[in-house]
Amino acid sequence: MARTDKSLARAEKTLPNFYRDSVALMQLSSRIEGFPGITRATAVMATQANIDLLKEAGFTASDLSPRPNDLLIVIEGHDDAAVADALSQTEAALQAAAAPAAGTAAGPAAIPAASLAMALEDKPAANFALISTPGEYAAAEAEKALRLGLNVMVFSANVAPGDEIALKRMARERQLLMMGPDCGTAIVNGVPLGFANALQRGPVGLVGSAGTGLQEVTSLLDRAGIGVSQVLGCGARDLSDDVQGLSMRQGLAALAGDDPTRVIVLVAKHPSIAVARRIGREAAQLGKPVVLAFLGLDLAGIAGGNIFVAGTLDDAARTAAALALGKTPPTPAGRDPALAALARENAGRLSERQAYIRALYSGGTFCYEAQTLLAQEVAPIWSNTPIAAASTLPDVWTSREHTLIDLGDEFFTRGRPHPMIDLRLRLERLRQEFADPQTAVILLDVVLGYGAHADPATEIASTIADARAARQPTDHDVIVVASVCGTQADPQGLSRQEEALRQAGVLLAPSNAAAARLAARIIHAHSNRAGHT
Amino acid sequence: MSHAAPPWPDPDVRRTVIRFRHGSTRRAWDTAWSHLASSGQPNGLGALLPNGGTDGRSLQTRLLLPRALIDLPRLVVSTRRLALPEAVSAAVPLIGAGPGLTPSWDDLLIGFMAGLRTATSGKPERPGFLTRLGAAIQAAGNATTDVSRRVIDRTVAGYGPPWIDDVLAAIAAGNVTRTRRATREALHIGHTSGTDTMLGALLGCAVWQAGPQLDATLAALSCRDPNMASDASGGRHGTH
Repeated sequence: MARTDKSLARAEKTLPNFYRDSVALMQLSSRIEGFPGITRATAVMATQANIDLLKEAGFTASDLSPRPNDLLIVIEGHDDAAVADALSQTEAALQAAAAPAAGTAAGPAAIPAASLAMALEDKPAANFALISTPGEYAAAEAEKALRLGLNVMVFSANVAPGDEIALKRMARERQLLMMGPDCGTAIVNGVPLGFANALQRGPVGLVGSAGTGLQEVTSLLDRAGIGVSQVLGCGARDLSDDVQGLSMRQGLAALAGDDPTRVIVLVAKHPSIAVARRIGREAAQLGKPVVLAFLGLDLAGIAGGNIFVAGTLDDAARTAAALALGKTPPTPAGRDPALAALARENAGRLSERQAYIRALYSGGTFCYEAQTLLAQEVAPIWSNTPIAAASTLPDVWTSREHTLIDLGDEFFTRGRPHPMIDLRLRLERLRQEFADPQTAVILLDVVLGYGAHADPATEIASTIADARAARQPTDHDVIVVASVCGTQADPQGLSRQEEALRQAGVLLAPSNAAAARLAARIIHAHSNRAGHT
Repeated sequence: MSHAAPPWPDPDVRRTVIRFRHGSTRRAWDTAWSHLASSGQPNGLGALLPNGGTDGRSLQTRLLLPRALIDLPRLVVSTRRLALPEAVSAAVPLIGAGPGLTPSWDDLLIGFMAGLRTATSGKPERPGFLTRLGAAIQAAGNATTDVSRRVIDRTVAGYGPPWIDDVLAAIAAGNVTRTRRATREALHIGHTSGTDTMLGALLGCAVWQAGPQLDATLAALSCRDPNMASDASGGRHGTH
């Protein structure tokens, strides 16, 4: 059956126990096929069936043994040199992505550690384990790490609540940190873990159960010239009645005893009121100022002494910055005349039919914060993660009236990368909202930092340009409002990202809260112009 | 410490029953099928669909399609007839074939078994057929990747991928809105896995049903061989 063309050169290579995302493999194969002198290229799992298909197509004549967990690369071309070059480039691209321990002139490649114990033997000074596995395995790995005396960050979600509590108790008994499960952001001793921004070191220590909330406060502090000592995550469920803030309380105690930390900020969304009060009481016993940014709770009653309460993330950053500089904290940000003027100026671009805000968030905390703010300004609000006055969106794929979507919610991320990494789903929704004649304002967050998309602003700007081009000449424009969460030192560069958005006509607000307020102001200004109520 | 919950713990999944004699169920299936058919996937088995895209079609997909065009209708037709040896001979040789860590053909079989499970009522031979087909597929698990084998094992045990079970449950309930939503979600899974598994699941749950759905589906799939549709209702079946 084989129809191998003997005039063509071929090279084959199997990489043991190796796999890359199938999209990446296809893109790579396609790129290699475009090389001069190359006719065909593929990278597939080395199963018998795939080998048979390659043989049937005359793509390989060799007697390959099936090894289903190995990656098989086959390249065909007009001459040996072109094929060998393409193969080496393919391998280099794949290995660069894998970044394995390489052998050196001094010795052979290290054997990759297959367990935490092996890794610890290899690096006995290590005291920290970051666990990112499917949720069903994460608890067992975290337990092993704690038993080995390691501090733990569990990036994985979907760990059973009972396991979370048991792990956190075990960590407390052993005086180890247990961050997570579902902890996406931390900076420990200056080392960013998970999604985190490039920040200056400084006097503010933070503990939070809200990942993008921590990123927003720390980035705003950085822009104000204030650095951080430690940023500790505790997992989304930590401040529930069941878990009782075990990790936040432990982190709070650790920061209280940490000399470089002069100001502490605690960040959470929808905590249990009882747990929030308990943490407030414990914080009041410390000798350092503590800012509580517990979104969605009115804790004004417990402010006083060393306790400061912030209603929004940007208020928390302003308060912490002032305290770090030894100044009196400012009053909370309210109605900003500059934003009101900007809103009036832009509302004139809208037609009478355009009446609604459509918010497409990648950060869950941002979606939550915006809901708390917009609930006081517009109605009705729908969301896939509704709080307070918002209602559950019946079909998450279709917006109605004012809609705020958290695209990082598990519903959208099952089997897909998080929208901070992969913008496709959000861009598709952006186009959809642009095409809706009732959309007045599209509200976006753009999150920068390690782990995030390499150039989100350019992707968003390009989609906005396409969406505008697709509208009819008689259609009115849609106003896009965004805030960028990040710093100048982030790999994407704050000013570069902001400039790309500005060039696309996006109205930029200095924080997520300000962006939500600006969107509401535009709706109000438009209603007033149109004589709506 | 308690053990982690199983990944697909919903016990109701095994009790989903699809019956096309309900008009709402047929409409829900049609909804899922039309979403699948318009997905435009150029790679994996989605490329078999009438609107399968061609831009960016990988070599591995190009190699798989001619074999799948033969073995997929064989699998469906023999399953409809409860002809176990032929169904096994259609299903097993391509295990491990196609792009992805769960190769496309495996995804199709996983969806197919999950779909069949919802449709075994009506004839006493059907549950036994499914059990034996599942056992044959499971026995060939060494031919594929560890990850794929694990998903096959769980599906044979009655727990399909949760996003496929969501679609099947929505069809069983005859809820078009829920079906549309679940289908959209399923088609976003992985690169080709969502489309491949959905194709298997929609064929699987329709294969033993009365009505024109299966014939129309096979006609659409075997558009290069229009006789294939009549095979489904008892004529000759496709062979190599």
